[in-house]
Amino acid sequence: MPETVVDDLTPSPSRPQPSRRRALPTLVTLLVAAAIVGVLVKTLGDATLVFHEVDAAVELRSELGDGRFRVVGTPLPGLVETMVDGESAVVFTLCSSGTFADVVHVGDPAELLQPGVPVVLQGAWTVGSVPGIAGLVAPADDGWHLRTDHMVVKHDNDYRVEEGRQADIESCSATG
Amino acid sequence: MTHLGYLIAGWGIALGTFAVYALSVVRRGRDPARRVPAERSRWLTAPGADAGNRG
Amino acid sequence: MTETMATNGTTTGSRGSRVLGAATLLGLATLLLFAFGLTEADIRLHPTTGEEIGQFDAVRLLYLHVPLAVFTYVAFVLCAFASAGYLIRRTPWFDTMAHAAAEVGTVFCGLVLVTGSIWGRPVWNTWWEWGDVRLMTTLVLFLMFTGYLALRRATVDPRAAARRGAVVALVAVLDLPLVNRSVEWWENRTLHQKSTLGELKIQDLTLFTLMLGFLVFGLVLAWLLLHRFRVGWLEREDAEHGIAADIAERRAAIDEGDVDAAVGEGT
Repeated sequence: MPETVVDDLTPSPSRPQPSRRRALPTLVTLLVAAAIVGVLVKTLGDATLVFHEVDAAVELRSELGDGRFRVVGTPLPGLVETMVDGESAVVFTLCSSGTFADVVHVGDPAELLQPGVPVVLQGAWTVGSVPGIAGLVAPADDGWHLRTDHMVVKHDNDYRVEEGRQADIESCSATG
Repeated sequence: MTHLGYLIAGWGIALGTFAVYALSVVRRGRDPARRVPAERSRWLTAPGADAGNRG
Repeated sequence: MTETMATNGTTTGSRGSRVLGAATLLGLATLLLFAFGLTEADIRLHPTTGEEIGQFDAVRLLYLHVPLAVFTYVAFVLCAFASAGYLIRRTPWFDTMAHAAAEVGTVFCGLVLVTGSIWGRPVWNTWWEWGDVRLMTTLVLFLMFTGYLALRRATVDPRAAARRGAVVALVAVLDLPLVNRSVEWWENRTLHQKSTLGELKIQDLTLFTLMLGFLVFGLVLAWLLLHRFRVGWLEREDAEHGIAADIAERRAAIDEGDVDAAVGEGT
């Protein structure tokens, strides 16, 4: 064998070859890229994801029409459990920045739905009387109410724990 | 205690995952640790100390 | 390399890492004691009705979730620095560190999503909220680093894998400020509360337990990172040592005149 060949025995890294072993990671890479695009499209494309404060929702009532939107506010004391169209519902008044709106939430309310803890509701403005309004402490009672079916709690960032401490709650009124 | 199921699930999944991952890392290191001679086991080499001999 | 960092030759452990591991386990036990036994649940009284409000015992998940989130940031920032280092210096130390930090960080990030989801069900009333900017940016972060790991496995040439991985890591880490600042920049698109520590709305034993959580999960990160780095380094050395041994073996065969063995035939 010629010496030049014998001298060239250094094992060199083989030229990269596509193999079945690489197919799965490649597929995963592509799926991850597609998932990122999907998440961004879903996140950026949904206008209902912005939370309107109660005062903004009241101000934009004609503009919002019967379209669904999200509203954030603080429930006032006085949560009335009732039935609406054969489904369980909870009726209460929501407030923010001194503006009130009555809410009829159909379906299971959040486990930690509590007066003084802000909630984000998804639904639409509806004209008509509010069932159980007599049980509300300070209803808006303006002929409109928010008919909602999706409720999540927006907890605050206060973790100062001491026995008997009163919660800091945004005051909407004397009842708030 | 309220929400006990959620607490057990959250802490259990996290600590369990760490335990499984830690074991997998230790196991993965056993074979190369046996094969690589001691003089080449310099995994705390300062950055750049062996620059140039590898890509 | 110091004596304490040397392995015993059969594992990636060393005296130093065993001390670190023991401290981590002790810390975890102490954290569980404080998180479940000594700190109070989050219960406050409504100022007008006197009703109990708050997160109740679900708050105990935050001693886990918040430190995991912070050390996810640490791992990915470390990965980004190491990736930049690799692109500048092209040394294996940086690449091995970047790969280790990305893998450990992805485990942390996945657990942030899972523990956050488990906390969110009782407290928020939802496992997952599409459109919440912090959730979305964290999910994107997790997906990008999962993609980083998949890309490295999908690339055959180690140098190309290191180079491509470094670029992906530097792009992915740009999501971190979005994750962190999302609660301030898009206040009306997230259920997440603003920073508690920034506004000092935490005190006494609750604050201590959270700080203990940071310490303990910092130790968990350090231990995992140390071992994962050593595994990466050893695997690289193993591959290169295998090549060097092959060369030596074949040269020895040539010296002995056994050309067939030297070119790999009949072996």
